[in-house]
Amino acid sequence: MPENAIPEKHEVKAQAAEEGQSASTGEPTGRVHLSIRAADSATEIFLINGEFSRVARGVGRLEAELKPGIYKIKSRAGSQTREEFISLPTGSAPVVKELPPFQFIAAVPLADTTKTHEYQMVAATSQCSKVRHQAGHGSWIYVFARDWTPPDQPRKASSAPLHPARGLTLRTLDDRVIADFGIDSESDLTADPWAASNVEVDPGIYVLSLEMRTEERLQQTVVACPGWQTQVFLLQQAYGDTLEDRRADIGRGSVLMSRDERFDPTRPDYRLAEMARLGLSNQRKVASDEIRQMLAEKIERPMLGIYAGHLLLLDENPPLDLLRHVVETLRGLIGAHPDVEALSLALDSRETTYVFAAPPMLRRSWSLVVKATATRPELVPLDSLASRSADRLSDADPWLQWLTMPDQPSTRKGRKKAAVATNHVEVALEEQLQVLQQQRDASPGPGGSGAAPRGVLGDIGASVLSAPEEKPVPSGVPADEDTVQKLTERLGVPRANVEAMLTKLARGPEAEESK
Amino acid sequence: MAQNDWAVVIGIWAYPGFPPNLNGPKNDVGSFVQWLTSPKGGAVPTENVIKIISPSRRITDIFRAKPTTDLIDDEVRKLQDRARREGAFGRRLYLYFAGHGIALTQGRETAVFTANADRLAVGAHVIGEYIADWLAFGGGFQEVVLFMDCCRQAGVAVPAPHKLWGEVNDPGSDKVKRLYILAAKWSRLANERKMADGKVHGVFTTALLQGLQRDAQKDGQVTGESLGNWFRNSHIMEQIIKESQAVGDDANDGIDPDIAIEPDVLYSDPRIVLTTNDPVPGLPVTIHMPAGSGGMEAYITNSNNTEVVPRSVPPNPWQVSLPSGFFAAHLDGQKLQAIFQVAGGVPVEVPEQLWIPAL
Repeated sequence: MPENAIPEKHEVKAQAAEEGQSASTGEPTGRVHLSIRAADSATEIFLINGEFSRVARGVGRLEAELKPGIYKIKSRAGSQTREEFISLPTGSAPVVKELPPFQFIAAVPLADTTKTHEYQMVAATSQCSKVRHQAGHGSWIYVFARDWTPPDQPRKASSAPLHPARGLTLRTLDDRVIADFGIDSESDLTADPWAASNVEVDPGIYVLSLEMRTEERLQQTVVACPGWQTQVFLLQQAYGDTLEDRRADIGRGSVLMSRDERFDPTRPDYRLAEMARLGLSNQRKVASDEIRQMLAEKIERPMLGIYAGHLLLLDENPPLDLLRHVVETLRGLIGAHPDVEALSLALDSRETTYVFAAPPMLRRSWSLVVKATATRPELVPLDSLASRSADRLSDADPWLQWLTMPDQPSTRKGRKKAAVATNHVEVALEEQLQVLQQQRDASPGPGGSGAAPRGVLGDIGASVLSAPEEKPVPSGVPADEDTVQKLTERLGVPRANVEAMLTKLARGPEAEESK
Repeated sequence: MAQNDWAVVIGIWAYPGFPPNLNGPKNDVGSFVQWLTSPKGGAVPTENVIKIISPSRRITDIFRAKPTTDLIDDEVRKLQDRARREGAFGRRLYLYFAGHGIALTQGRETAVFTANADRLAVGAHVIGEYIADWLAFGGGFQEVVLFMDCCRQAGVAVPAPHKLWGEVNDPGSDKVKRLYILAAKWSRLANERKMADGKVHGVFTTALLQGLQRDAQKDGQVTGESLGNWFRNSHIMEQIIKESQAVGDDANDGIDPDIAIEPDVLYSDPRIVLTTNDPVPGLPVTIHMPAGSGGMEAYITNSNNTEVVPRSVPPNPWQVSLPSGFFAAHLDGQKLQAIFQVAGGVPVEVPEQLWIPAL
């Protein structure tokens, strides 16, 4: 287990490595109790001794019995760290150290974070409840996009402010535009610009789509739950070298949910949700005692529940009872949600009958879904949006994103990209088939060396190729049930996709060309 | 002992598919190999160092670009095949990667793109941790050391991690010792900059060599543990960024939070002893005394509350020499103390503002 894996106990009671004994006087010295409390319960705390060794670790709080001496307290939230020293004198009474809140970077304009302005917090709050566009009933999707310039880098007078939501649209699963945020939003472009739009929709799954200057579209799922407002907050990112390439940074967006169409930048649970999201992005295990207690007692913020569910899965031995409770509670709170149903698959791949026609919101949710399709291919139907996007994923984290090209790219580069976009996974499939064949040939026993060579698709091939025309199955690489499951897991695409590619491979290039 | 050590050094700087080319890996490979083969460094026999690097001539055709994945796979496989035939034939294996890197979200691993990669050919990569683990558990070596100087941010879609030899399962035994240090934590960027020698180097490799050569030593030895601890605590990468210059289009001067200022230490086995040399003498420390402290006695204790600089009436500023660690300077007369750290090989300045009321 790598060293950055958190110990099983998230609150560590550290003991001194040796019995305290003064090197200079030879007299025994007592231990000192140190309590460290962070303002944010998702703050990681590390205690380091003078040998630069880590002697204790905690999340949100840390309790330790230590030899008198000097220690360094290192704390971390998101991408930010802070260090300070603490001296524990001999014979000292218990010491309590309070750590101030971190001013971490967040796309959501929260109080006590960097990269925000007071006026943006006010705007995000005031626009939240105004329905800008009506496209359904019973649920809302609120998008707040903004830019932020460091105080010591004022924007050049010659450059006109760019609309922070240009190219950003909300679409249905069949790619129909519901709202174009670059046009249909309330905005203020005078200072660091912001744009806001609250769209009322029917509960369901939608796609947030960002069109680049290069015509590619970066897309991700947004789920609207009955009676809830899903709030998406976005800063800006440079997707290329020109000013035109600066667009909404959907890969590092913040997503929260509110029952009453309100946004309060001072709410501690919003802050906690954002820290949980950052923890997932940075692969940090920040599921503190407080978070676990919240999960066990009352989940009021569904996105915090979803983030925290995934954080639990980072434990070496995830608390599955708690996770089950989280899943059941979230189902009661927001109904069928792809990320909640994905979490249920971590408990048992047969946990849910939900069909993932659309991708979930989180990358980690998708990994759980794909893994489950190895034995339950029906979870992701072929030709669904989830299936079609599986070989065009961006490796963003924590959001699951995919790239699409327009049907008729206007540039030669765009057409070339569109033509080769699906080849990555097919190439990887052929490579993995070779690997599996070599492993099979190397191992003794049925199907190994000495046994009669099997057909390309083996048992699976017969059922997959039950097409009107009986095609001869080429000999060579075996692809039985075990192989297909392994390929599903290794390639990270749904099983239905793997089987489709195997079928295509078995038919050969001539069959494809003759189509 | 080092006669049985081996190294695979992979440096890729020419990427026709990802212009412009990198500059750091070309210089860093040379520096790292110099340390590897130096009698006071890794002491690896030159004939045991396998270098897989970009060619010296300029290649613009991506289909002719090398090294490719196949080339690297073949060299790695030769080592593994030898292990299969002979068993444990080596003591330690060093693996060094420098090039364009990417974080693979699927397996939470780190890959370096090979020379023939571009946005359309993202399968052209090699995974550092995967290769290291495969060789670690393959039985050929007792110790595996992995250093990767590359980015660990996701970006382009890599649909299937290149794992030619199937999954590698950790047998759970403590038999193989591992030291794996990556230039950046997850989702962070590695950085190359123009250093004091006028050449471009990777920040991580610069720091690594500084640590290996001297500053990460504890009691005269640089071990896996001391190197890991030194990296975590010395702020050395931050220091290097401050003292060097950004290159090319990189406008980030260490302020961008995406730039890594601390590496990721995945494993740091204390049983791996990288070098043994004479203990490094203490580093110079300059302590600026608080106002009104003239004529008062002061002393310095270490992190165990042991007096290491005896009581005296120091001048202002007070110059001392101290080894790595945490220290507290005391002024009992004013009931003040200043706590500071010595590490990183950089002289320490303790400003007057650091003096605070003692507990």
